[in-house]
Amino acid sequence: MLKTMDHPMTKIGWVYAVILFMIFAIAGLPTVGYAHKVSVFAWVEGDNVVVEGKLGGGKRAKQGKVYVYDGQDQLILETELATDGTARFPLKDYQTGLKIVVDIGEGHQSFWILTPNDIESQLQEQKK
Amino acid sequence: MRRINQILCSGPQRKYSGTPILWSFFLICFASSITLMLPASPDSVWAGSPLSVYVVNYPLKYFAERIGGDHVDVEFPAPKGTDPAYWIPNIATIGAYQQADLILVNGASYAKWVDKVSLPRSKMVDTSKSFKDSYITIKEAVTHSHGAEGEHAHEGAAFTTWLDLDLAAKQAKAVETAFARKEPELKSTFQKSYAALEKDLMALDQDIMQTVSKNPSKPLIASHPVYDYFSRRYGLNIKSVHWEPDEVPTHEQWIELQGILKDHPAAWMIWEGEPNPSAAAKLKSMGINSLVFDPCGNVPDQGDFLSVMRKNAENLKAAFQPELQ
Repeated sequence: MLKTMDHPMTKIGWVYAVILFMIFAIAGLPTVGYAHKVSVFAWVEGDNVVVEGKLGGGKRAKQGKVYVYDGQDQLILETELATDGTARFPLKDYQTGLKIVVDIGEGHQSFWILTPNDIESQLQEQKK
Repeated sequence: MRRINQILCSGPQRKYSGTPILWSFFLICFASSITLMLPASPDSVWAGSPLSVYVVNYPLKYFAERIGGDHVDVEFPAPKGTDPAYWIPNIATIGAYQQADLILVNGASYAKWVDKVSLPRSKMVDTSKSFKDSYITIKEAVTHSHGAEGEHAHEGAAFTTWLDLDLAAKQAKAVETAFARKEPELKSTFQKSYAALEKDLMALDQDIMQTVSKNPSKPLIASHPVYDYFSRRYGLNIKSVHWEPDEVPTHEQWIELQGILKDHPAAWMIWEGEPNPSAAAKLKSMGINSLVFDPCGNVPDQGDFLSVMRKNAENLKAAFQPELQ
């Protein structure tokens, strides 16, 4: 009796398990595929530099370290991405340009470079 | 009577002495007008300063210099000995790229730093754009480290496009078109130079075709995954490992090679540079010979792009000789 009651329940349980597995597998696919891809973009906004870190597929990186280097490759600032995938820091000491590295962990990092010319032209653009 | 005589005699005399000057004047005017009507040689008219051209690899430098001649000033700032595919210029050098008249990039994800800076689009020339649809995608990315460029992975599109010499000619054509657009008065000069370069490249292309056609199914091993376009163009049967010429392969790398050899009994390994003697000797003991086919991404120690490619083509012939198969 017990055996006949158990059998259909096990079958349904298996079906649920397979469906749940497929849902999680499909939902997890983009994360797995793009996990190691990070892209960085930075621009001048007012007196600040805004940094944006994105994962593959356009998702914003929710956490990550931000390292700012000058033209001599000297680390001049260290900050972190906010949960919206951006970081801001005051624009100063940019005469030799800025290299902005975003590290989201496990060796996955990328960078964006702002040359002095980029910064000057963006500042000029803002004045217009 | 004397007066009449004077007039009669002086007339022809005056006429005789004045005619050459007059004729000379007319002749000069005529010749000048004809000269002005004739199409001028572009080089004789051109008086501008050379185009400032920045490139991302040595093949493009060679193409640009062959096509542009004295009309271009080509800069390739990657230091000797580095792999320009993974080299990242410093900020000052990127600033110099931004200031150039033209920036020649290879495309196919070569020199990834290009996507991480602002380069003026109007100056950028993607030399492989015309064959974007036939880029080769690398299926299995393996991260490894060598040289000053540190760790990197061969992923995305394969980028050693110029090892297919037909694609190399297409890239050179893109260079010629860009130069002609920038300096229209020199168009015919650039066209002539390109035609000569194309002839050289295609002669070599046919030479390699002929070599491989003797035994296209012959299994070969590539020491590094940089021969994708080369292999496709010339129909080579290549499988790759991830070895460096100047490094002794690890135990795991030898095991990997032995695994490949089970289904792919190669008697030759193609190297980017002269292999480490102990690695070459061990390969030899396994019945595998070594040959160098230098991709020539950076400035060669000797010769130029064409002479290196000719040497490569000669080296390849050894693998296709009947007695060594």
